[in-house]
Amino acid sequence: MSEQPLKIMVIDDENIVGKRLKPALEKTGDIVETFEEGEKALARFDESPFDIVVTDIRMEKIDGIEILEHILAKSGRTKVIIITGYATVEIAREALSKGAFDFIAKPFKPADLRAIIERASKELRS
Amino acid sequence: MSLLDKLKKIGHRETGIRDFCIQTIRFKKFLENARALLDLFADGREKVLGEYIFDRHYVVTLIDSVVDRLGRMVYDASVLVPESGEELYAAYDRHKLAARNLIGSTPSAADDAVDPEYRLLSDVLKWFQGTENTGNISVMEFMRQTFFHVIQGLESNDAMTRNQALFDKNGLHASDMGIYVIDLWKDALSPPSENRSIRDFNSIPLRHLFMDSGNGDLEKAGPKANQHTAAWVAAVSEYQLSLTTLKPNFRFRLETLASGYEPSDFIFIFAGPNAPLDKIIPDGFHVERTNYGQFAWSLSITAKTIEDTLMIIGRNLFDESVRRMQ
Amino acid sequence: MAMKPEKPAGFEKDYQFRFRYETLRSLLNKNGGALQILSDLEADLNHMRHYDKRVRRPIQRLITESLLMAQELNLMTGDHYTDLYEVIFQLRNKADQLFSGCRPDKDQPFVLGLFEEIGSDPFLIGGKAFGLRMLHQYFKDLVLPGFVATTAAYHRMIEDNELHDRIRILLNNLDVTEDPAQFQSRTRTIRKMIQEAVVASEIETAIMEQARALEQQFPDILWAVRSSAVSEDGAHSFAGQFDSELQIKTENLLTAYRHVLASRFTDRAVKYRIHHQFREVDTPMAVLFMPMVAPAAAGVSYTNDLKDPAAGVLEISAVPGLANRMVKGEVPADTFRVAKGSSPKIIRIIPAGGEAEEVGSVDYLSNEKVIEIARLGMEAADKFGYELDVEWAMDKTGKIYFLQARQLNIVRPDEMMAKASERKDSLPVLEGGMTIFPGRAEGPLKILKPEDQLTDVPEGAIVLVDQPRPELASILPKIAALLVVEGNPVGHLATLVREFAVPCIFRLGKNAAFLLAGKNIISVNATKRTVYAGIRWPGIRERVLARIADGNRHPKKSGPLYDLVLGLNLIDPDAASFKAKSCRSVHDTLRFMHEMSVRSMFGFGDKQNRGWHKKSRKLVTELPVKFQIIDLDQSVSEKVKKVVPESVESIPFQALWRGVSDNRLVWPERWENAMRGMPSDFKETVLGGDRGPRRPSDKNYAIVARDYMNLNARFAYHYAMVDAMVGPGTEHNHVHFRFRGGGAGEENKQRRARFLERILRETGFGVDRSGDLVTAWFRRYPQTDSENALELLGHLIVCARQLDAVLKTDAAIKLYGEYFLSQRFDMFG
Repeated sequence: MSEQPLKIMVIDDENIVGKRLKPALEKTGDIVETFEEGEKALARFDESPFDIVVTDIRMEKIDGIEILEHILAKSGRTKVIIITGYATVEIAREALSKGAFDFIAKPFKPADLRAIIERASKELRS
Repeated sequence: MSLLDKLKKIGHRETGIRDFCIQTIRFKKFLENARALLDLFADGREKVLGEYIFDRHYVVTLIDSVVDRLGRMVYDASVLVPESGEELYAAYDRHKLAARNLIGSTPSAADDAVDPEYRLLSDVLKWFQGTENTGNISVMEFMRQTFFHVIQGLESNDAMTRNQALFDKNGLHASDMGIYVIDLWKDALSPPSENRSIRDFNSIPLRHLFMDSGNGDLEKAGPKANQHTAAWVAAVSEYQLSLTTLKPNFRFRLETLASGYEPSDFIFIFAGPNAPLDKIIPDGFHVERTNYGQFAWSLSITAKTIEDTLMIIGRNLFDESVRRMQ
Repeated sequence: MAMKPEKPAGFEKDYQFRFRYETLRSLLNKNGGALQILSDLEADLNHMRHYDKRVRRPIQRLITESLLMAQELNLMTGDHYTDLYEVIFQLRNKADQLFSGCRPDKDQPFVLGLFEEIGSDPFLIGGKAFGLRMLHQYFKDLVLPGFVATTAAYHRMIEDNELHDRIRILLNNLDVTEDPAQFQSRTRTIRKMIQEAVVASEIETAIMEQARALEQQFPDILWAVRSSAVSEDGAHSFAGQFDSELQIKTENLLTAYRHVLASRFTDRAVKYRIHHQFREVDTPMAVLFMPMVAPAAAGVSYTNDLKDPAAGVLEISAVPGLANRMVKGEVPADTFRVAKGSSPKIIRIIPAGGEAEEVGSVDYLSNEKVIEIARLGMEAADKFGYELDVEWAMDKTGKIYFLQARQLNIVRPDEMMAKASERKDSLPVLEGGMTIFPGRAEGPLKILKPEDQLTDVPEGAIVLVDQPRPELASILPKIAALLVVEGNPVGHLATLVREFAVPCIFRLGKNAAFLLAGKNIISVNATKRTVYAGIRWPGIRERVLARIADGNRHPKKSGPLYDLVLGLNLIDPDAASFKAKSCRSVHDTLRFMHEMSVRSMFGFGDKQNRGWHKKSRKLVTELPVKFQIIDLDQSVSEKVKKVVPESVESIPFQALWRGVSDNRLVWPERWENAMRGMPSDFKETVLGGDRGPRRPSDKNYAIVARDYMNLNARFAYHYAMVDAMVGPGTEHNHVHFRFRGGGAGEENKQRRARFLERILRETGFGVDRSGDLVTAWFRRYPQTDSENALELLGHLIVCARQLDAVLKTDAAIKLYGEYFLSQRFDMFG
């Protein structure tokens, strides 16, 4: 089944995240760009939108929810997945009701994230 | 009477059955906490292998969770064996301090190739499992010592004598088998008026224990019925079984939860140091032998496997060759 | 965090003390966990059957925890509460019995032809489809064929897309949310999730198969795709709650299907279910697909006159073309009143927007056809055995079809006659129209224009609108009466008005807005169809407000699981009935044990009070509070002579104290000078127990450790408890808060409790409010969030002392809530 590769953006101010996610997600042939700074990520997104954005919810300089809102305003079809450092219902609620597709809590295996991305891409294609 | 004295006097009033049931349930809780602790270790070990993405917050949370869970285990132990409480809490406090030091410390051995989160986690795992440094005992070792205290208390001669008297007095003897059977949630309300049969109990683990012994004949299965006394006790609920012996020279205890929907289904076994454990339990258990007894457990196990295992154990336990050793 | 050098183990020299403290901690921790389970369970029961393992498992765990808590309570109190054991064992046995009779879920079909043999379960095909099946049984000719995507298909879609948990999360607590923007954002999100959901290929295939089969029969088919919802009882109409999709081409059927399913979560549909206490799990949706006729005429028929059932008259409303805009109240209809009997006869025609006539006709529907429709309706009512609300259509050949039939609800109003003294000298401002629901009401007038926000309608208002749009359903629970300029008595809104029992007049006429302009308060007699300016009948306003309040105070949910687990019967801890033996549910036992454990620790009437005084030290502070500090792990260094707050090295204590000592807070003691000369009792009451305590039980205690705090404070007649564990981790951080206010009247206590509930929920606490006791929990948050929560509690505890003075009305709750959340603490002075 040949499909277009996904354009995935990863935003997290912790170096370990991008470092480990990029090779893991690129295994399936998708294109992955990682950012540690929210501002830069959004600037890049404004240049050309991505299919999937994976972003930490709490970063020092910019809030994950702000990023979520910016992205959805720019591109309604982009699926945004939130990374949380701890899973609480309130966070899930806030993220979901602002339009996030789903969320994943650390610690997680890249494979778990990939499963969510696959679900998201199914909706993108339908 | 101080409250500690009161704790020691379980069973001397009519509330004996109730207290016995609560104690059994408390011991289950103790095992549950121990199991959760082992899960935490396993979780940490899994993460340090390298595939995961986690942050320092995860490691700190892991440390806190271990301290919390250990504290709960120690509390349960201090209720089950009040005389060991003080000693256990003293040791626990030392571990709390060690945890605090870990959280406040900088990770060992600057090694730029390894992320700092991973370095901290491997330090934490050393605390869990032990180091070569004889000055510190590991959390695992402390757990073993806690088990030692608890089992000693539960399996003491005093306890067994008391229980025997209690069960006899309350007519909990099964009519068709040499075993006392207690419904953990019903019998505390009111002891039975008539004789009870194994068949009356809706307990899945209990049924499976006897399913394969005596060639399918319940009459021949299990320990032989004796009119006056029995040497086995089974405390049960729909999915739980707590099986113990009342024989001073054959110590054996089996605890299991087989619900099929609890993630914490398990089997746990304790046997005296001379018991032929190999002849009783099948492969697949994690076994530890110590001077005071043998421990075996199986944790990530489906209810179906537990049921099958119980059949094997039942057959082995009440098989003639093993019986002779009891 | 500063590291102290290692201390020799055993700084707890008194093991008994240590054990007791650990017992308290264990019990309180279990209690917090249990309350969380209860709260989750309540949300889950909204969505799951009680025998679902996701419900069963927590209940069994809950009961086991309760038993161990009972042991702990008895350890603390020297076996003072052994009665609890029997209660808890009984609860477990009852629960086991409940679970033993469980229903397995059989394999249900996803799509069924409307008239298929096996499709007769209303829970599978929904009310609308079920009604049509029944009609078809008696009148094969009248009902078009069609097919149904069943509730099984709905459940499958929810599962496949993992929507279940997400919907539950988003719907949770919506019944207490007062923020309309939040409400709308959450329902909108759910609708979007459903609209974008992936439908299983089996369902898709089955739908298209059925569609193609019908295409053979109806070439150039256009579809009507409609909701067929399930409700447990027939008394609720769900009128107009969901969207229908009309004139859909076959290739767009699946999109229409998703759209109709999504309409299950429109604002008004969700509010309707909340108001009527429907559980989500009990009201799934099936979807009905039917070919559309191109109607020459369509409308609705009531087989009996609602206002006068004995008159033997039925009513038929009609419009040319499709009827959907008519039932939505967007378009007026012509109404025919027909005398029943063996030869039905039209006795009156009320044209849309015209005057009633005794003879006449309309050009799109002959009078003979009207009689035919009347006759068919009467026959159907006869066969069904009850009066009907029938939607009908007539195609261009004159053939009549019935599109929907449901039971006509004749709701008996509780006030038929207008009594009371009327001032004979004043004339009504308005007279006439049609009574939709009788009764009297009084309140401020709100003229609602289409562009106005429904959320701006104040509680207890009398609303005037042009058209009876079904969206108005969302304000029905809170208004005193409804006046409509135009409108059909047989539309959706009319049905809902009757359901909600709101006094209502339709067809007041175009002059209504002009005549009522400038009036503030008006009085409405919907029975006599008159409207007056000003207050006319004393006492009516109170009754109206009571009706509204009653409707909005959610009645206790019931059912075996609610009674056994969730229901709270033990409300007043000071009552003589507050005993172990009075506990009837798990919630009761938790409440009881928590109360008793805290009392036991602080010697409120317990003889076992040992050792606390010896170990405590006084907290030195300029604030007018008295606290004894019990230090568990040398959070206060031995070298410290005066224990000032800064010297207590406990994270949660510091956080709470930051809140309490915030200099924006107002302490009435600052008026101390003005109070000189006042009787000391008065000072005690007003200033909150500032006089030195006379008994140990009057002292306020705070047990502290580095990462733990348990604080109990009494002031005036209020009582607050904070139990918190806050460290750098997350997993077992918790902040638990309990507040009980004494003194004051019942109304005041309620307001106080509601105020607290509001604040706590807004800031992320889970809250349980029963009577005047508020329990709240904030669990598993990181350190910073937990500290902020404690700081807020500090503010709250201080401000709570002033609540009786400022919360004079219900409206004040919202106002002062906003003040508090925007940190306007000066308003609490």
